[in-house]
Amino acid sequence: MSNPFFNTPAAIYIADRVRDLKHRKSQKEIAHEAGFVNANMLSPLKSGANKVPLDRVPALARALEVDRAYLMRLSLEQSVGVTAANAIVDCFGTPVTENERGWLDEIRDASINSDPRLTARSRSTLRGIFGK
Amino acid sequence: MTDGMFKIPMAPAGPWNHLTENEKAWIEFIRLISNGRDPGITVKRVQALRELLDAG
Repeated sequence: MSNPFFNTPAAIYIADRVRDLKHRKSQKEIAHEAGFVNANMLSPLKSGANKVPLDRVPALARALEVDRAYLMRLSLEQSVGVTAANAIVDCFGTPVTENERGWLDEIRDASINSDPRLTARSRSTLRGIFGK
Repeated sequence: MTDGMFKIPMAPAGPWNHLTENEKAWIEFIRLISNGRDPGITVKRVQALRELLDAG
């Protein structure tokens, strides 16, 4: 198979971000920012011909303007499989993003730090808030 | 990328193991229903969240 990582979440995510940034950054500029010597390195990552090199995730996340923790989660899944990636995240913990920290602050403030449970009603309301 | 509704996550801001089990459940559910796109905070969303929590 020429594209063993075709259609993996990491490949799809990178392709989407390259497309979204297209109006202000070329693919070659992104590759350069990410520290790839080969300016065409993003093409095999997008197509799934190559997996994302884990040591390049922080720089690639900066170049793609995305959360490095999220890109690392997807890249780990690509490199070691979903089960092993989950085990790694379980051992080292999942970093909380700035937005998530903001949501936690709102939940704590609105509940007066009562540590509210996620009830069926809460789930229904959250689906409404986030449009699903 | 922003589409008016979502903001791409930019940086980790805290450790997971500092959260309570209930807080982990809230965040995991938000991740699930937003397809991991790390939705940003808006006035409308905060109002809806506060209405939910104020109601108990």
